[in-house]
Amino acid sequence: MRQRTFARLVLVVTAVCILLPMAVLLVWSVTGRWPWPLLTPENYSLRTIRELFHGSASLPRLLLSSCMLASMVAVLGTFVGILTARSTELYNFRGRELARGCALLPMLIPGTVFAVGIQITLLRIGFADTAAGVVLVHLVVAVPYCIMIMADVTRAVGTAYEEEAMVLGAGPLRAFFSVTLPHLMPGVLSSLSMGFILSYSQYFTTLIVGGGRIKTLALVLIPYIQSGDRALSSVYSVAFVSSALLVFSVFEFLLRQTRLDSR
Amino acid sequence: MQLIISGLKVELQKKPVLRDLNLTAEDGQFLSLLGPSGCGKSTLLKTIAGILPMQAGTLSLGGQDISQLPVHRRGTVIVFQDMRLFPNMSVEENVAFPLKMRGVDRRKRLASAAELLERVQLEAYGQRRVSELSGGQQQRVALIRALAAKPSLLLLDEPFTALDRNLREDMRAMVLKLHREFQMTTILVTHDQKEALAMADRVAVMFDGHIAQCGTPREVYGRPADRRTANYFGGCGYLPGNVVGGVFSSTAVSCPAAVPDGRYDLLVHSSALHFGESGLLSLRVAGIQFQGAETMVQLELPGGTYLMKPFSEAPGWSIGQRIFGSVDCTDPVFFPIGK
Repeated sequence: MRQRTFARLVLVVTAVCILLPMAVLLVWSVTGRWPWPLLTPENYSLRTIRELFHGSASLPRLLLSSCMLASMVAVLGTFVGILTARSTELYNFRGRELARGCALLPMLIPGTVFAVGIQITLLRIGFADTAAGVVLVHLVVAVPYCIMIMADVTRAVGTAYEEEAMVLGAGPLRAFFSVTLPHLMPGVLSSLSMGFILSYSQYFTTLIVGGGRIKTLALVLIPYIQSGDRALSSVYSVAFVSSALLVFSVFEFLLRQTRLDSR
Repeated sequence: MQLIISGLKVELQKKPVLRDLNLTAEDGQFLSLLGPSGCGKSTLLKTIAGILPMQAGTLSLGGQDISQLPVHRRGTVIVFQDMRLFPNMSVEENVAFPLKMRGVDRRKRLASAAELLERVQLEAYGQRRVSELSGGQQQRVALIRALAAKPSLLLLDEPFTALDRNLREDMRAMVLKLHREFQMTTILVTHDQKEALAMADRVAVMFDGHIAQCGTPREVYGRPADRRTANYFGGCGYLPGNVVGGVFSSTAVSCPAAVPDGRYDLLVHSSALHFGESGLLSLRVAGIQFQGAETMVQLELPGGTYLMKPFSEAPGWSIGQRIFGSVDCTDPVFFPIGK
């Protein structure tokens, strides 16, 4: 009983710590002027909302480019994650442990160092300042996480069902799609959401590799924060967090559906 | 279809598991593959099905070499001990799966699945998830799913191990019934001696990756090829003696022996022991176990070996008591001592 009360207390405190700053951001989003030490804004304004939808960095365009980039990274990262996980978890070969370690190497290198270094290579191969270059770099950041998620799930699912499907007449690809992939779906959805949010929140790598031409919500948000315009930076922050939460909610819903189907 | 395996060698993680294995199963035959855990029975089934690669040897099914064929084209289906029903499909979708892989349209394959479910009294369970079925029901679904694939060779890998005793007997009867109906070559892997003897047309006894003996249940049990096979079946002991001029002589036992002269152990099955005042063979009662329908008595033979003899009623002896009996030497089996 005491444990349950304590757990509830922790939950409430955590929720307050997350929701209270969000609430403040929401208020700032529609604030005209809010000088210290007033507890509420002096006046309200829709300037930031107009700027959000009709300004030079309009939300719909930013959301579209951010979501498309992040979706591509999520799908490609999960694809690489599935294949890498299959080879390292289901097959025994010389150098397997080395392969496992190498797959996680990008996590050891700081993003800023990596972005500056890779930009030189991208300039040489003509991928600098392009969406393809940004996707590639985001992919390198996201792939280790996708591999880790898929490795755990692949190990848990194993090859039993696939073997059974094959003895019942399914070719290897059909066996994978018919019986293995449905069991991997929780991991696939987790990998997709992780890949998406990692790419969605990339700032420095997008700035360096995209050369300012590839505009994402994260890229636009930081300068607004640095500019000191609290109202504008608040409204973009709210847009960023809300869109990310929406994507997470969709993945969470799909994850629950796959769990219900397999019960 | 006839299965012929010759010179089969399989290694797992560079360790030999199957060593120069030879085995034949005739068309429509029910063959039991019997042996202790770890002897390579399951490895053999998986190699036949193509799940595990082989290092040497040939596999022929219906006269065709299948060793290079991929798993899904061999026509061999395994029913595993853990059944491996697909949790993401309903019961009827599981049963219809092999038909789906053969390109049968949805209406026909679900109709076939329903017909198969009816054969095992599960027609009302088609729409359910496999997790909603009991162990015995899941086993029946796994069996008919295998049969839906119309295999040329059905491989059963200890399918009854996870079931309780009553259910196991029901499932054995069902497997035999389906075998008679579908008339397909079947190999059953088991470590249960009684199961192997009761179900099969032929029994292959396996130790350490090779076949020690293959024959009818009576041959394998009554005339085991070596001590290891005899000991594996249990229920037997040995009487040491000498063979001179074609006659075996031991304490109170003498019989013809078609073996060269020398020292031998006579294999004594519990069924060959008879008790009565006229018996000259002295035995000691070493243990008595009440097991419900029968009482098992452990007897010590001259020479120091033991055997277990079942009695439908307790014989009224006490532990340590000396009793006298005789051995039926109608079809004696001799093993040389020291080899």
